[in-house]
Amino acid sequence: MQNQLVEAKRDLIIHKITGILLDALQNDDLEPEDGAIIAGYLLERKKQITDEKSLNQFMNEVAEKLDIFRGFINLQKEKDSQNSLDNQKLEDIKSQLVELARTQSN
Amino acid sequence: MAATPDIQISRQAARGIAEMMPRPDVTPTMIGGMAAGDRAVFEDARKAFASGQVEQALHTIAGDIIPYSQQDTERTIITKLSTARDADGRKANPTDAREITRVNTAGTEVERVRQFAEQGIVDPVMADELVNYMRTNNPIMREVLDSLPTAAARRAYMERYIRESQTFKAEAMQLFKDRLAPGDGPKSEVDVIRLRQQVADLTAELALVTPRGDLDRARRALDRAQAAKVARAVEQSQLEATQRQLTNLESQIGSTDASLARYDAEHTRIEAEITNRNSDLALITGADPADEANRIRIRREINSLQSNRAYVEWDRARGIRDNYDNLQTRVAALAPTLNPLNEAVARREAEVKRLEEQVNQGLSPQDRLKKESELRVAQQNLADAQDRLEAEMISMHRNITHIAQDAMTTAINGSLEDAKGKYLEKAREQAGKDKTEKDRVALLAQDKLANIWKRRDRDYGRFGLGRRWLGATTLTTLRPDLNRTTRRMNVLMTGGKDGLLRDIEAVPDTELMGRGVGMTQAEVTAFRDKLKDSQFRSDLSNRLSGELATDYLLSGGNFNQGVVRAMAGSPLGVELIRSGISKAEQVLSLYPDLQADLAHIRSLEGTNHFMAELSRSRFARIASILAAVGILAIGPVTAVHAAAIGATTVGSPLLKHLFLSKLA
Repeated sequence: MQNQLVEAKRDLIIHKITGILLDALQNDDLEPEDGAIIAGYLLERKKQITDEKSLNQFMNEVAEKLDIFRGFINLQKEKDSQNSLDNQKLEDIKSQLVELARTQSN
Repeated sequence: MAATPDIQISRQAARGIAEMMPRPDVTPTMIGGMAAGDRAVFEDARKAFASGQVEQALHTIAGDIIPYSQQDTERTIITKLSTARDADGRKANPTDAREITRVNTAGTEVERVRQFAEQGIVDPVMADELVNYMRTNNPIMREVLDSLPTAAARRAYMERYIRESQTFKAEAMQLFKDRLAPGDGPKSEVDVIRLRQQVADLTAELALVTPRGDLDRARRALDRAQAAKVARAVEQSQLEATQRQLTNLESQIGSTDASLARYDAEHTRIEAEITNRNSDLALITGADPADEANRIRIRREINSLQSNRAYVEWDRARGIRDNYDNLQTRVAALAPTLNPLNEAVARREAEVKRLEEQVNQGLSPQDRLKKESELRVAQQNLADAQDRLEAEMISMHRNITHIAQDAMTTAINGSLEDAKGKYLEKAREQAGKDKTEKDRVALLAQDKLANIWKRRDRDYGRFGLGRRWLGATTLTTLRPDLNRTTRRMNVLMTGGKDGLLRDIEAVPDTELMGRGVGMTQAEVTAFRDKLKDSQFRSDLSNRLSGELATDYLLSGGNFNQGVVRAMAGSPLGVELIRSGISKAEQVLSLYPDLQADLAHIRSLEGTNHFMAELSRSRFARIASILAAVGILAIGPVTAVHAAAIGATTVGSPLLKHLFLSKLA
């Protein structure tokens, strides 16, 4: 289940990044040779993403090495962070509810 | 600095280099990729991305996928390698046998490369072709491949190499894209088409007008026909006369035939009557008057019948008719022979006339010559352009069919550059070591050179020769020999330092390697080799001159007044003296016995024995050395005097003084 989530997230990010790459090539913001190198890099790195940690590492690398992806990655991270915060809140509420139910049953 | 020696690539070196070839360390997509301006790649990637095939899009951008389909490349090959065109003028499948072969081989080779570039499948034929190509064209790879035992092993090596070499793959991909990019065919084809048109136009233009040569030929044919006709002139005149007579009779023959028809019956009747009368006349044979009268009557009747108009007209007409028939017969006999001649002449005349008219109406002879020249030039240009086209197509075919070979060459050369760099670095290091080693050997040789003027000497110790037969140990040393040092000093004085060096240079190897000098073969070689270096020569001649001067002194030689003056009067001399003194000091420090002698002399200083001791032969040698030592102390100018004085028999007290002043 966790793996599937990571894969889905990985594919989504790769998809977005590829779109950005194509746009950059179309707008001549990127030399075709550089585009080829980036594409090769992405294909190689994609194989190494197996879990959340390696995914984050990949995103950090991409944001650090390649300017054109930095904006997207940062946005994605913020979103992830927000999601994580929301999840945390949900977990908190859930645990509080569980605690309340337990108290009442006692 | 010495130049790096050329590295000969031996089989061992080749293998060494091949082993040193770095395995590719680039990722598969580091090289190649989307060529600048290659929109086809970008469009393919965009298309794949739009259809959700993200990975495919990335592969396309990375250059892992060739942007031209098989149909694209087939079309490109036709465009480049075929000159045939369809009804619409578009390039079509070739009809020429060579072009067919080229198109087919190109298509096959290209698909092999595509198969490898996109799917990583190595066609065994491609591997074999690469093996053959490399064995022929790359000496290093040939050495490596030839060292493999079988063709299968060589193929396997090649397959492994190209699978592992990402440079090869990337280069093959790039060459594929470059060489099979849709575009124009051979450039020369335009020239060929234009020149073909030009030749056709000129040919048509020249065909419209009669060439001058045609007219001349027609005239000559007419002359021949006329000559043949003249040869039959008599018959010809007969025929013409007969034909004229016939023509004259033509107008009468109608009325003649009419007369014959009209009078034919009357003529027949009268002819019968005349025949009867002649019969009657034959029957009257008597001679009487009655018979005579009858005969006269009958003859008169016959005459009367013969003068009958019908009878006369018929005869006349008959004559004309017969004449006419005869004339016709004669014409019929002559005409078959003569008419063809006449007809030929008439035909030739008409031809000449027609051609004359054409010539008159067409190009002037000058214009015609010009056009003909233009046509010839155009034909030559066309032939050249066709050759160029052929060459261009062969070159294009080669480029298309040798993608793998060229990619391999680039990959190997790239690897070799690295490997060769390392190899050369090692070689340079070795050369540096060699150089140092050579210098070291040369120095050894240099040290031994001075042995040339030395002699082997045995030291039997304090008991002298008496111990020799008792088996006492002896020490063999090399000591300067006065005769030898003197001879060389004379060379030095006359030929200078360089003269001395040349003199030593002329000493044969056998002598240098002999017991006296003791050089090894390597030392002799190094010495001879180093002599090519002018700096070395200069250094060596300086050193040898100094050594010689010192050894001369050590061997008992004296600087007489003349020698010292000669030396001190020149920079060379001053230099020699300085060098000699320096050497003398070293030598003195190395010879304890001399030190002892010096000490002995010093101990005698101020006594009556001093001069007596000094005059002893063993001290005479030291006296000379001391002269040199003294020179060091008092400087070259005074040294001249000092040495000069020291070299004389009356100079000993002064020498002593100088000696003491030095040692004090």
